[in-house]
Amino acid sequence: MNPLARFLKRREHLVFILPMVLYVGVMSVFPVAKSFQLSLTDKDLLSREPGSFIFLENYRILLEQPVFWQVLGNTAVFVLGSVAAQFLFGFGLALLLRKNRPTVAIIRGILLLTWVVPGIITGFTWQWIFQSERYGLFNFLLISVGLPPVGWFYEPAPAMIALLVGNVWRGVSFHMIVQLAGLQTISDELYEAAYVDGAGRAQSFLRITLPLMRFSILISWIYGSILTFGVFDIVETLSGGGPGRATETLSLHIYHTAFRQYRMGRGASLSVIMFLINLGLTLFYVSLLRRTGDR
Amino acid sequence: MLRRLGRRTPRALVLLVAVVVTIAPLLWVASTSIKTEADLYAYPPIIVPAEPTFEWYPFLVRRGFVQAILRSCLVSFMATLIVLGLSGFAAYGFSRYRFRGKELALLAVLGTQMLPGVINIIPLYQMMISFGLLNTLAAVYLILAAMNVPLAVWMLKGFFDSIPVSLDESALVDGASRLYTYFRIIVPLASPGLVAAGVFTFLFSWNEFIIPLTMTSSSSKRLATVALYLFKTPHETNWAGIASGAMLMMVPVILLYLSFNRYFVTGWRGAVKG
Repeated sequence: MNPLARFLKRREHLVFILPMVLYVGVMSVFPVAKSFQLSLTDKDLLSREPGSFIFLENYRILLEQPVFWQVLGNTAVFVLGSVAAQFLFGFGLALLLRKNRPTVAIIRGILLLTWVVPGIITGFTWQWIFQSERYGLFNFLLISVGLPPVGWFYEPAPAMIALLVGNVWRGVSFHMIVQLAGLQTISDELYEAAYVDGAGRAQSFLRITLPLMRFSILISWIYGSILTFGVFDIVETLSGGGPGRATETLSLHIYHTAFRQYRMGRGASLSVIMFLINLGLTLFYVSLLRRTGDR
Repeated sequence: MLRRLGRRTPRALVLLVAVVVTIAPLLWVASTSIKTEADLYAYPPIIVPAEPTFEWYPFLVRRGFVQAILRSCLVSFMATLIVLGLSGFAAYGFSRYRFRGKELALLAVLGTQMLPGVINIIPLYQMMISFGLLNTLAAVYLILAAMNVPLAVWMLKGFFDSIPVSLDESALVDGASRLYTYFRIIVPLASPGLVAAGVFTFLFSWNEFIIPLTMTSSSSKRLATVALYLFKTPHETNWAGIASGAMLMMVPVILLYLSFNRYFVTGWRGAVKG
Protein backbone atom coordinates (compact mmCIF):
# COMPACT_ATOMS: atom_id res chain seq x y z
CA MET A 1 0.00 0.00 0.00
CA ASN A 2 1.48 3.38 -0.92
CA PRO A 3 1.76 6.10 1.72
CA LEU A 4 -1.05 8.20 0.28
CA ALA A 5 -3.48 5.31 0.32
CA ARG A 6 -2.44 4.48 3.87
CA PHE A 7 -2.95 8.06 4.95
CA LEU A 8 -6.37 8.10 3.33
CA LYS A 9 -7.27 4.82 5.00
CA ARG A 10 -6.52 6.31 8.41
CA ARG A 11 -8.16 9.63 7.63
CA GLU A 12 -11.02 8.21 5.61
CA HIS A 13 -13.58 10.41 7.34
CA LEU A 14 -11.86 13.45 5.83
CA VAL A 15 -12.81 12.29 2.34
CA PHE A 16 -16.42 12.66 3.35
CA ILE A 17 -16.22 15.73 5.53
CA LEU A 18 -13.55 17.87 3.92
CA PRO A 19 -15.49 19.01 0.83
CA MET A 20 -18.25 20.43 3.01
CA VAL A 21 -15.80 22.01 5.46
CA LEU A 22 -13.82 23.66 2.65
CA TYR A 23 -16.95 24.92 0.94
CA VAL A 24 -18.49 26.39 4.07
CA GLY A 25 -15.08 27.74 5.04
CA VAL A 26 -14.67 29.65 1.80
CA MET A 27 -18.27 30.82 1.44
CA SER A 28 -19.31 31.49 5.06
CA VAL A 29 -16.34 31.67 7.40
CA PHE A 30 -13.76 33.42 5.23
CA PRO A 31 -16.23 36.26 4.46
CA VAL A 32 -16.49 36.97 8.18
CA ALA A 33 -12.71 37.47 8.35
CA LYS A 34 -12.91 39.54 5.17
CA SER A 35 -15.55 41.74 6.85
CA PHE A 36 -13.13 42.42 9.70
CA GLN A 37 -10.46 43.43 7.20
CA LEU A 38 -12.83 45.60 5.11
CA SER A 39 -14.16 47.26 8.23
CA LEU A 40 -10.72 48.80 8.79
CA THR A 41 -10.72 50.44 5.35
CA ASP A 42 -12.65 53.17 3.57
CA LYS A 43 -13.50 50.81 0.68
CA ASP A 44 -16.00 52.36 -1.70
CA LEU A 45 -18.43 50.27 -3.76
CA LEU A 46 -17.95 52.24 -6.97
CA SER A 47 -14.15 52.49 -7.01
CA ARG A 48 -11.82 49.70 -8.05
CA GLU A 49 -9.28 50.76 -5.41
CA PRO A 50 -8.99 48.33 -2.48
CA GLY A 51 -9.62 51.19 -0.03
CA SER A 52 -7.00 52.60 2.30
CA PHE A 53 -6.38 51.39 5.81
CA ILE A 54 -8.00 53.72 8.33
CA PHE A 55 -7.87 51.44 11.38
CA LEU A 56 -10.87 51.89 13.69
CA GLU A 57 -12.08 55.13 12.10
CA ASN A 58 -15.32 53.52 10.83
CA TYR A 59 -16.20 52.32 14.32
CA ARG A 60 -15.40 55.71 15.82
CA ILE A 61 -17.68 57.46 13.32
CA LEU A 62 -20.45 54.91 13.86
CA LEU A 63 -20.41 55.19 17.62
CA GLU A 64 -20.55 58.97 17.33
CA GLN A 65 -23.51 58.97 14.98
CA PRO A 66 -26.95 59.21 16.62
CA VAL A 67 -28.29 57.21 13.65
CA PHE A 68 -26.32 54.15 14.73
CA TRP A 69 -27.80 54.22 18.21
CA GLN A 70 -31.26 54.81 16.81
CA VAL A 71 -30.83 51.78 14.53
CA LEU A 72 -29.60 49.65 17.45
CA GLY A 73 -32.60 50.75 19.49
CA ASN A 74 -34.98 49.90 16.63
CA THR A 75 -33.30 46.52 16.27
CA ALA A 76 -33.70 45.80 19.98
CA VAL A 77 -37.40 46.68 19.86
CA PHE A 78 -37.88 44.66 16.68
CA VAL A 79 -36.05 41.57 17.93
CA LEU A 80 -37.38 41.54 21.49
CA GLY A 81 -40.92 42.48 20.45
CA SER A 82 -40.99 39.86 17.69
CA VAL A 83 -39.51 37.04 19.73
CA ALA A 84 -41.62 37.73 22.82
CA ALA A 85 -44.86 37.73 20.84
CA GLN A 86 -43.85 34.82 18.59
CA PHE A 87 -42.83 32.79 21.60
CA LEU A 88 -46.03 33.44 23.57
CA PHE A 89 -48.30 32.63 20.62
CA GLY A 90 -46.12 29.70 19.54
CA PHE A 91 -46.04 28.21 23.03
CA GLY A 92 -49.79 28.67 23.47
CA LEU A 93 -50.54 27.02 20.14
CA ALA A 94 -48.13 24.17 20.87
CA LEU A 95 -49.97 23.47 24.14
CA LEU A 96 -53.26 23.38 22.25
CA LEU A 97 -51.85 21.21 19.46
CA ARG A 98 -49.74 18.73 21.40
CA LYS A 99 -51.99 15.69 20.96
CA ASN A 100 -51.45 13.77 17.73
CA ARG A 101 -54.88 13.71 16.14
CA PRO A 102 -55.75 14.06 12.45
CA THR A 103 -57.43 17.47 12.91
CA VAL A 104 -54.46 18.66 14.96
CA ALA A 105 -52.08 17.63 12.19
CA ILE A 106 -54.11 19.55 9.62
CA ILE A 107 -54.19 22.69 11.78
CA ARG A 108 -50.44 22.47 12.39
CA GLY A 109 -49.93 22.15 8.65
CA ILE A 110 -52.00 25.27 7.98
CA LEU A 111 -50.26 27.31 10.67
CA LEU A 112 -46.87 26.36 9.23
CA LEU A 113 -47.83 27.98 5.93
CA THR A 114 -46.64 31.38 7.18
CA TRP A 115 -43.13 29.95 7.46
CA VAL A 116 -42.92 28.94 3.79
CA VAL A 117 -44.37 32.11 2.26
CA PRO A 118 -41.48 34.18 0.81
CA GLY A 119 -40.57 36.99 3.21
CA ILE A 120 -40.96 39.72 0.63
CA ILE A 121 -44.53 38.56 -0.03
CA THR A 122 -45.23 38.64 3.70
CA GLY A 123 -43.84 42.17 3.86
CA PHE A 124 -45.80 43.44 0.86
CA THR A 125 -48.98 41.73 2.05
CA TRP A 126 -48.92 43.39 5.45
CA GLN A 127 -48.00 46.74 3.98
CA TRP A 128 -51.03 46.40 1.74
CA ILE A 129 -53.21 45.40 4.71
CA PHE A 130 -51.92 48.34 6.79
CA GLN A 131 -52.36 50.94 4.03
CA SER A 132 -52.89 54.29 5.69
CA GLU A 133 -55.81 55.33 3.51
CA ARG A 134 -59.34 54.14 3.97
CA TYR A 135 -59.00 51.32 1.44
CA GLY A 136 -56.49 49.65 3.75
CA LEU A 137 -58.05 46.45 5.05
CA PHE A 138 -57.00 46.96 8.66
CA ASN A 139 -58.18 50.56 8.75
CA PHE A 140 -61.49 49.39 7.31
CA LEU A 141 -61.78 46.92 10.20
CA LEU A 142 -61.01 49.71 12.67
CA ILE A 143 -63.66 51.94 11.10
CA SER A 144 -66.21 49.10 11.18
CA VAL A 145 -65.84 48.76 14.94
CA GLY A 146 -66.10 52.52 15.42
CA LEU A 147 -62.40 53.39 15.79
CA PRO A 148 -60.60 56.07 13.79
CA PRO A 149 -58.29 54.89 10.98
CA VAL A 150 -54.55 55.08 11.66
CA GLY A 151 -51.85 56.48 9.34
CA TRP A 152 -49.79 53.35 9.91
CA PHE A 153 -46.67 54.35 8.02
CA TYR A 154 -46.75 58.09 8.82
CA GLU A 155 -45.79 57.77 12.49
CA PRO A 156 -42.88 55.84 14.09
CA ALA A 157 -44.82 53.81 16.66
CA PRO A 158 -47.63 52.58 14.38
CA ALA A 159 -45.06 51.71 11.70
CA MET A 160 -43.12 49.59 14.20
CA ILE A 161 -46.36 47.91 15.29
CA ALA A 162 -47.24 47.09 11.68
CA LEU A 163 -43.74 45.71 11.14
CA LEU A 164 -43.98 43.60 14.29
CA VAL A 165 -47.38 42.22 13.29
CA GLY A 166 -46.02 41.10 9.92
CA ASN A 167 -42.91 39.55 11.39
CA VAL A 168 -44.75 37.87 14.26
CA TRP A 169 -47.21 36.42 11.74
CA ARG A 170 -44.34 34.73 9.95
CA GLY A 171 -42.40 33.57 13.00
CA VAL A 172 -45.04 32.08 15.30
CA SER A 173 -44.95 28.69 13.61
CA PHE A 174 -41.20 28.31 14.09
CA HIS A 175 -41.64 28.72 17.84
CA MET A 176 -44.65 26.43 17.77
CA ILE A 177 -42.55 23.66 16.19
CA VAL A 178 -39.73 24.08 18.71
CA GLN A 179 -42.16 23.96 21.63
CA LEU A 180 -44.03 20.98 20.16
CA ALA A 181 -40.74 19.10 19.93
CA GLY A 182 -40.11 19.96 23.58
CA LEU A 183 -43.59 19.01 24.74
CA GLN A 184 -43.38 15.63 23.06
CA THR A 185 -40.40 14.68 25.19
CA ILE A 186 -42.50 14.92 28.37
CA SER A 187 -44.15 11.60 29.13
CA ASP A 188 -47.86 11.48 29.91
CA GLU A 189 -47.14 9.40 33.01
CA LEU A 190 -45.76 12.44 34.77
CA TYR A 191 -49.06 14.25 34.34
CA GLU A 192 -51.02 11.18 35.41
CA ALA A 193 -48.91 10.85 38.55
CA ALA A 194 -49.42 14.53 39.32
CA TYR A 195 -53.16 14.14 38.75
CA VAL A 196 -53.30 11.19 41.11
CA ASP A 197 -51.45 13.23 43.72
CA GLY A 198 -54.14 15.88 43.40
CA ALA A 199 -52.29 18.50 41.36
CA GLY A 200 -54.47 20.89 39.35
CA ARG A 201 -53.86 21.87 35.73
CA ALA A 202 -52.11 25.11 36.70
CA GLN A 203 -49.91 23.28 39.14
CA SER A 204 -48.86 20.58 36.71
CA PHE A 205 -48.12 23.26 34.11
CA LEU A 206 -45.90 25.20 36.51
CA ARG A 207 -44.24 22.19 38.14
CA ILE A 208 -43.92 19.77 35.22
CA THR A 209 -44.29 21.49 31.86
CA LEU A 210 -42.28 24.66 32.44
CA PRO A 211 -39.24 23.11 34.16
CA LEU A 212 -38.97 20.31 31.59
CA MET A 213 -39.39 22.79 28.76
CA ARG A 214 -36.59 25.06 29.87
CA PHE A 215 -34.29 23.88 27.13
CA SER A 216 -36.77 24.31 24.28
CA ILE A 217 -37.76 27.68 25.68
CA LEU A 218 -34.14 28.79 25.61
CA ILE A 219 -33.68 27.52 22.06
CA SER A 220 -36.79 29.41 21.03
CA TRP A 221 -35.48 32.65 22.48
CA ILE A 222 -31.87 32.42 21.36
CA TYR A 223 -32.34 30.88 17.94
CA GLY A 224 -35.41 33.04 17.42
CA SER A 225 -33.45 36.20 18.25
CA ILE A 226 -30.65 35.27 15.88
CA LEU A 227 -33.10 34.56 13.07
CA THR A 228 -34.97 37.81 13.72
CA PHE A 229 -31.71 39.76 13.80
CA GLY A 230 -31.03 38.74 10.23
CA VAL A 231 -34.50 39.52 8.87
CA PHE A 232 -34.11 41.78 5.89
CA ASP A 233 -36.86 40.94 3.40
CA ILE A 234 -39.86 41.70 5.61
CA VAL A 235 -38.43 44.96 6.95
CA GLU A 236 -37.46 46.20 3.50
CA THR A 237 -40.84 45.46 1.93
CA LEU A 238 -43.16 46.14 4.89
CA SER A 239 -41.95 49.47 6.22
CA GLY A 240 -38.75 50.02 4.24
CA GLY A 241 -37.24 51.34 7.48
CA GLY A 242 -39.53 54.37 7.47
CA PRO A 243 -40.95 56.80 8.28
CA GLY A 244 -37.52 58.42 8.32
CA ARG A 245 -35.41 55.80 10.05
CA ALA A 246 -38.02 54.86 12.63
CA THR A 247 -38.08 51.16 11.72
CA GLU A 248 -34.61 50.80 10.21
CA THR A 249 -32.97 47.73 11.75
CA LEU A 250 -29.31 46.76 11.73
CA SER A 251 -29.70 44.42 8.75
CA LEU A 252 -31.37 47.17 6.70
CA HIS A 253 -28.75 49.65 7.81
CA ILE A 254 -25.94 47.37 6.60
CA TYR A 255 -27.54 47.13 3.16
CA HIS A 256 -28.28 50.86 2.92
CA THR A 257 -24.79 51.86 4.06
CA ALA A 258 -22.99 49.50 1.69
CA PHE A 259 -25.23 49.40 -1.37
CA ARG A 260 -27.12 52.71 -1.36
CA GLN A 261 -24.42 54.98 0.08
CA TYR A 262 -21.66 52.78 -1.43
CA ARG A 263 -19.69 52.77 1.86
CA MET A 264 -18.46 49.17 1.87
CA GLY A 265 -15.95 49.77 4.67
CA ARG A 266 -18.49 51.37 6.97
CA GLY A 267 -21.05 48.71 6.12
CA ALA A 268 -18.49 46.01 6.90
CA SER A 269 -17.96 47.46 10.36
CA LEU A 270 -21.72 47.25 10.92
CA SER A 271 -21.55 43.59 9.81
CA VAL A 272 -18.76 43.00 12.31
CA ILE A 273 -20.86 44.51 15.08
CA MET A 274 -23.79 42.31 14.07
CA PHE A 275 -21.48 39.31 13.97
CA LEU A 276 -20.19 39.98 17.50
CA ILE A 277 -23.71 40.26 18.89
CA ASN A 278 -24.65 37.03 17.09
CA LEU A 279 -21.51 35.32 18.28
CA GLY A 280 -22.37 36.10 21.88
CA LEU A 281 -25.85 34.66 21.44
CA THR A 282 -24.52 31.61 19.56
CA LEU A 283 -21.89 30.75 22.15
CA PHE A 284 -24.57 30.92 24.79
CA TYR A 285 -26.76 28.60 22.68
CA VAL A 286 -23.95 26.13 22.01
CA SER A 287 -22.96 25.98 25.67
CA LEU A 288 -26.56 25.14 26.51
CA LEU A 289 -26.61 22.44 23.83
CA ARG A 290 -23.48 20.88 25.26
CA ARG A 291 -24.76 20.98 28.79
CA THR A 292 -27.92 19.08 27.93
CA GLY A 293 -25.86 16.72 25.77
CA ASP A 294 -23.98 15.65 28.91
CA ARG A 295 -27.14 14.88 30.76
CA MET B 1 -70.97 16.58 28.97
CA LEU B 2 -71.66 20.30 29.23
CA ARG B 3 -68.52 20.84 31.26
CA ARG B 4 -66.51 19.02 28.67
CA LEU B 5 -67.97 21.17 25.89
CA GLY B 6 -67.28 24.25 27.99
CA ARG B 7 -63.65 23.28 28.28
CA ARG B 8 -63.28 22.44 24.63
CA THR B 9 -64.97 25.47 23.08
CA PRO B 10 -62.35 28.09 24.00
CA ARG B 11 -59.66 25.82 22.60
CA ALA B 12 -61.53 25.35 19.33
CA LEU B 13 -62.20 29.09 19.17
CA VAL B 14 -58.54 30.00 19.69
CA LEU B 15 -57.49 27.53 17.02
CA LEU B 16 -60.13 28.87 14.63
CA VAL B 17 -58.85 32.41 15.14
CA ALA B 18 -55.28 31.23 14.57
CA VAL B 19 -56.26 29.49 11.33
CA VAL B 20 -58.19 32.55 10.11
CA VAL B 21 -55.34 34.93 10.96
CA THR B 22 -52.97 32.62 9.08
CA ILE B 23 -55.07 32.26 5.96
CA ALA B 24 -56.85 35.63 5.68
CA PRO B 25 -53.80 37.64 4.52
CA LEU B 26 -53.07 35.03 1.86
CA LEU B 27 -56.68 35.12 0.65
CA TRP B 28 -56.47 38.91 0.58
CA VAL B 29 -53.48 38.60 -1.75
CA ALA B 30 -55.45 36.19 -3.92
CA SER B 31 -58.38 38.61 -4.03
CA THR B 32 -56.10 41.58 -4.82
CA SER B 33 -54.52 39.70 -7.69
CA ILE B 34 -57.79 39.56 -9.63
CA LYS B 35 -58.94 43.15 -9.01
CA THR B 36 -59.19 45.93 -11.55
CA GLU B 37 -57.48 49.23 -10.79
CA ALA B 38 -60.79 50.73 -9.60
CA ASP B 39 -61.59 47.77 -7.33
CA LEU B 40 -58.19 48.04 -5.66
CA TYR B 41 -58.90 51.37 -4.04
CA ALA B 42 -62.66 51.00 -3.52
CA TYR B 43 -64.24 51.80 -0.17
CA PRO B 44 -65.45 49.72 1.54
CA PRO B 45 -62.75 47.27 0.38
CA ILE B 46 -64.03 44.60 -1.99
CA ILE B 47 -63.34 41.15 -0.59
CA VAL B 48 -64.50 39.09 -3.56
CA PRO B 49 -64.36 41.06 -6.82
CA ALA B 50 -67.67 40.90 -8.69
CA GLU B 51 -65.86 40.98 -12.01
CA PRO B 52 -62.50 39.30 -11.56
CA THR B 53 -59.84 40.32 -14.04
CA PHE B 54 -56.86 38.36 -15.16
CA GLU B 55 -55.24 41.31 -16.92
CA TRP B 56 -52.32 41.28 -14.48
CA TYR B 57 -50.98 37.95 -15.65
CA PRO B 58 -50.29 39.13 -19.22
CA PHE B 59 -48.73 42.19 -17.58
CA LEU B 60 -46.38 39.90 -15.63
CA VAL B 61 -45.47 38.04 -18.81
CA ARG B 62 -44.66 41.33 -20.55
CA ARG B 63 -42.48 42.38 -17.61
CA GLY B 64 -40.42 39.18 -17.89
CA PHE B 65 -41.72 37.69 -14.66
CA VAL B 66 -42.04 34.21 -16.15
CA GLN B 67 -38.34 34.18 -17.03
CA ALA B 68 -37.59 35.38 -13.50
CA ILE B 69 -39.58 32.46 -12.08
CA LEU B 70 -37.69 30.02 -14.33
CA ARG B 71 -34.37 31.51 -13.20
CA SER B 72 -35.46 31.12 -9.57
CA CYS B 73 -36.26 27.47 -10.30
CA LEU B 74 -32.83 26.93 -11.82
CA VAL B 75 -31.01 28.67 -8.96
CA SER B 76 -32.95 26.82 -6.26
CA PHE B 77 -32.39 23.52 -8.06
CA MET B 78 -28.63 24.09 -8.37
CA ALA B 79 -28.36 25.14 -4.72
CA THR B 80 -30.27 22.00 -3.72
CA LEU B 81 -27.96 19.74 -5.75
CA ILE B 82 -24.84 21.24 -4.19
CA VAL B 83 -26.30 21.08 -0.69
CA LEU B 84 -27.35 17.44 -1.00
CA GLY B 85 -24.01 16.43 -2.46
CA LEU B 86 -21.88 18.14 0.16
CA SER B 87 -24.01 17.60 3.23
CA GLY B 88 -24.93 14.00 2.41
CA PHE B 89 -21.23 13.11 2.31
CA ALA B 90 -20.44 15.14 5.40
CA ALA B 91 -23.35 13.74 7.37
CA TYR B 92 -22.22 10.22 6.48
CA GLY B 93 -18.72 11.03 7.73
CA PHE B 94 -20.08 12.43 10.96
CA SER B 95 -22.47 9.55 11.43
CA ARG B 96 -20.11 6.64 10.70
CA TYR B 97 -16.65 7.66 11.88
CA ARG B 98 -15.30 8.48 15.30
CA PHE B 99 -12.48 10.98 15.27
CA ARG B 100 -10.96 13.68 17.38
CA GLY B 101 -12.67 17.07 17.22
CA LYS B 102 -15.88 15.61 15.79
CA GLU B 103 -18.15 17.30 18.28
CA LEU B 104 -16.34 20.58 17.81
CA ALA B 105 -16.64 20.30 14.04
CA LEU B 106 -20.36 19.64 14.30
CA LEU B 107 -20.84 22.64 16.55
CA ALA B 108 -18.80 24.80 14.18
CA VAL B 109 -21.09 23.76 11.34
CA LEU B 110 -24.05 24.67 13.49
CA GLY B 111 -22.33 27.97 14.25
CA THR B 112 -22.24 29.00 10.58
CA GLN B 113 -25.98 28.35 10.51
CA MET B 114 -26.24 31.30 12.89
CA LEU B 115 -24.84 33.71 10.29
CA PRO B 116 -27.73 35.54 8.69
CA GLY B 117 -27.42 36.17 4.94
CA VAL B 118 -27.12 39.92 5.37
CA ILE B 119 -23.98 39.69 7.50
CA ASN B 120 -21.79 38.46 4.62
CA ILE B 121 -23.19 40.40 1.66
CA ILE B 122 -20.33 42.93 1.63
CA PRO B 123 -17.36 40.50 1.64
CA LEU B 124 -19.22 38.10 -0.69
CA TYR B 125 -19.81 40.95 -3.12
CA GLN B 126 -16.08 41.68 -3.16
CA MET B 127 -15.28 37.96 -3.47
CA MET B 128 -17.66 37.53 -6.39
CA ILE B 129 -15.93 40.43 -8.15
CA SER B 130 -12.59 38.64 -7.74
CA PHE B 131 -14.05 35.32 -8.93
CA GLY B 132 -15.53 37.12 -11.94
CA LEU B 133 -18.95 35.87 -10.87
CA LEU B 134 -20.66 39.13 -9.93
CA ASN B 135 -24.00 39.49 -11.67
CA THR B 136 -24.28 35.78 -12.51
CA LEU B 137 -26.78 33.19 -11.34
CA ALA B 138 -23.85 31.03 -10.25
CA ALA B 139 -22.91 33.62 -7.62
CA VAL B 140 -26.41 33.36 -6.19
CA TYR B 141 -26.66 29.57 -6.01
CA LEU B 142 -23.11 29.09 -4.76
CA ILE B 143 -23.85 31.41 -1.83
CA LEU B 144 -27.32 29.98 -1.17
CA ALA B 145 -25.85 26.47 -1.08
CA ALA B 146 -23.33 27.50 1.58
CA MET B 147 -26.10 29.06 3.66
CA ASN B 148 -28.19 25.88 3.55
CA VAL B 149 -25.49 23.25 4.08
CA PRO B 150 -25.38 23.41 7.92
CA LEU B 151 -29.05 22.67 8.52
CA ALA B 152 -28.91 19.86 5.95
CA VAL B 153 -25.85 18.30 7.62
CA TRP B 154 -27.65 18.23 10.96
CA MET B 155 -30.87 16.88 9.49
CA LEU B 156 -29.13 14.17 7.46
CA LYS B 157 -26.88 13.11 10.31
CA GLY B 158 -30.03 12.45 12.32
CA PHE B 159 -31.44 10.29 9.52
CA PHE B 160 -28.16 8.41 8.93
CA ASP B 161 -27.76 7.72 12.65
CA SER B 162 -31.07 5.88 12.59
CA ILE B 163 -29.78 3.44 9.93
CA PRO B 164 -28.07 0.45 11.61
CA VAL B 165 -24.28 0.45 11.16
CA SER B 166 -24.42 -3.33 10.72
CA LEU B 167 -25.76 -2.73 7.20
CA ASP B 168 -22.63 -0.79 6.23
CA GLU B 169 -20.43 -3.35 7.93
CA SER B 170 -21.87 -6.34 6.14
CA ALA B 171 -21.40 -4.54 2.81
CA LEU B 172 -17.82 -3.63 3.74
CA VAL B 173 -17.08 -7.21 4.75
CA ASP B 174 -18.37 -8.32 1.36
CA GLY B 175 -15.68 -6.12 -0.15
CA ALA B 176 -17.75 -3.08 -1.09
CA SER B 177 -16.00 0.29 -0.92
CA ARG B 178 -17.18 3.04 1.39
CA LEU B 179 -18.44 5.05 -1.58
CA TYR B 180 -20.38 2.07 -2.90
CA THR B 181 -21.87 1.55 0.55
CA TYR B 182 -22.86 5.19 0.75
CA PHE B 183 -24.56 5.35 -2.63
CA ARG B 184 -26.06 1.87 -2.71
CA ILE B 185 -27.14 1.38 0.91
CA ILE B 186 -27.30 4.63 2.82
CA VAL B 187 -28.72 6.93 0.15
CA PRO B 188 -31.68 4.69 -0.75
CA LEU B 189 -32.51 4.05 2.92
CA ALA B 190 -32.19 7.71 3.88
CA SER B 191 -34.09 9.00 0.86
CA PRO B 192 -36.87 10.53 2.99
CA GLY B 193 -34.20 12.53 4.80
CA LEU B 194 -32.56 13.60 1.56
CA VAL B 195 -35.94 14.64 0.20
CA ALA B 196 -36.69 16.64 3.35
CA ALA B 197 -33.32 18.39 3.28
CA GLY B 198 -33.76 19.02 -0.44
CA VAL B 199 -37.21 20.52 -0.03
CA PHE B 200 -35.97 22.77 2.77
CA THR B 201 -33.08 24.01 0.67
CA PHE B 202 -35.27 24.54 -2.36
CA LEU B 203 -37.83 26.56 -0.38
CA PHE B 204 -35.26 28.70 1.41
CA SER B 205 -33.46 29.39 -1.86
CA TRP B 206 -36.71 30.19 -3.63
CA ASN B 207 -37.64 32.69 -0.90
CA GLU B 208 -34.20 34.27 -0.64
CA PHE B 209 -34.10 37.98 -1.36
CA ILE B 210 -31.00 39.82 -0.12
CA ILE B 211 -28.48 37.58 -1.94
CA PRO B 212 -29.99 37.90 -5.44
CA LEU B 213 -30.69 41.59 -4.73
CA THR B 214 -27.03 42.35 -4.05
CA MET B 215 -25.25 39.81 -6.27
CA THR B 216 -27.15 40.45 -9.52
CA SER B 217 -28.07 43.69 -11.20
CA SER B 218 -29.07 43.20 -14.84
CA SER B 219 -32.63 42.31 -15.76
CA SER B 220 -31.42 39.22 -17.61
CA LYS B 221 -30.24 37.77 -14.25
CA ARG B 222 -33.23 38.86 -12.18
CA LEU B 223 -34.82 36.31 -9.87
CA ALA B 224 -38.50 36.23 -8.96
CA THR B 225 -38.17 37.83 -5.50
CA VAL B 226 -36.20 40.76 -6.91
CA ALA B 227 -38.54 41.14 -9.88
CA LEU B 228 -41.49 41.31 -7.50
CA TYR B 229 -39.70 43.83 -5.31
CA LEU B 230 -39.12 46.09 -8.31
CA PHE B 231 -42.85 46.39 -8.99
CA LYS B 232 -42.73 48.89 -6.15
CA THR B 233 -41.04 52.13 -7.13
CA PRO B 234 -40.76 55.35 -5.15
CA HIS B 235 -43.48 56.82 -7.37
CA GLU B 236 -46.05 54.09 -7.44
CA THR B 237 -46.79 50.62 -6.20
CA ASN B 238 -48.56 48.25 -8.51
CA TRP B 239 -50.42 46.29 -5.86
CA ALA B 240 -52.38 44.08 -8.22
CA GLY B 241 -49.21 43.31 -10.18
CA ILE B 242 -47.37 42.44 -6.97
CA ALA B 243 -50.29 40.30 -5.79
CA SER B 244 -50.46 38.38 -9.08
CA GLY B 245 -46.71 37.85 -9.05
CA ALA B 246 -46.98 36.75 -5.43
CA MET B 247 -49.60 34.18 -6.44
CA LEU B 248 -47.33 32.78 -9.13
CA MET B 249 -44.49 32.57 -6.61
CA MET B 250 -46.53 31.20 -3.72
CA VAL B 251 -48.61 28.55 -5.43
CA PRO B 252 -45.68 26.24 -6.32
CA VAL B 253 -44.22 26.77 -2.85
CA ILE B 254 -47.47 25.93 -1.11
CA LEU B 255 -48.01 22.85 -3.30
CA LEU B 256 -44.48 21.67 -2.59
CA TYR B 257 -45.00 22.36 1.09
CA LEU B 258 -48.32 20.51 1.25
CA SER B 259 -46.85 17.43 -0.43
CA PHE B 260 -43.94 17.33 2.01
CA ASN B 261 -45.72 18.74 5.04
CA ARG B 262 -44.97 15.79 7.28
CA TYR B 263 -41.21 16.23 6.83
CA PHE B 264 -41.30 19.76 8.13
CA VAL B 265 -42.03 18.94 11.72
CA THR B 266 -39.63 16.00 11.85
CA GLY B 267 -36.96 17.93 9.95
CA TRP B 268 -37.00 20.85 12.32
CA ARG B 269 -37.17 18.53 15.26
CA GLY B 270 -34.04 16.73 14.13
CA ALA B 271 -32.20 19.98 13.55
CA VAL B 272 -33.33 21.60 16.77
CA LYS B 273 -32.53 18.63 18.94
CA GLY B 274 -29.30 17.86 17.09
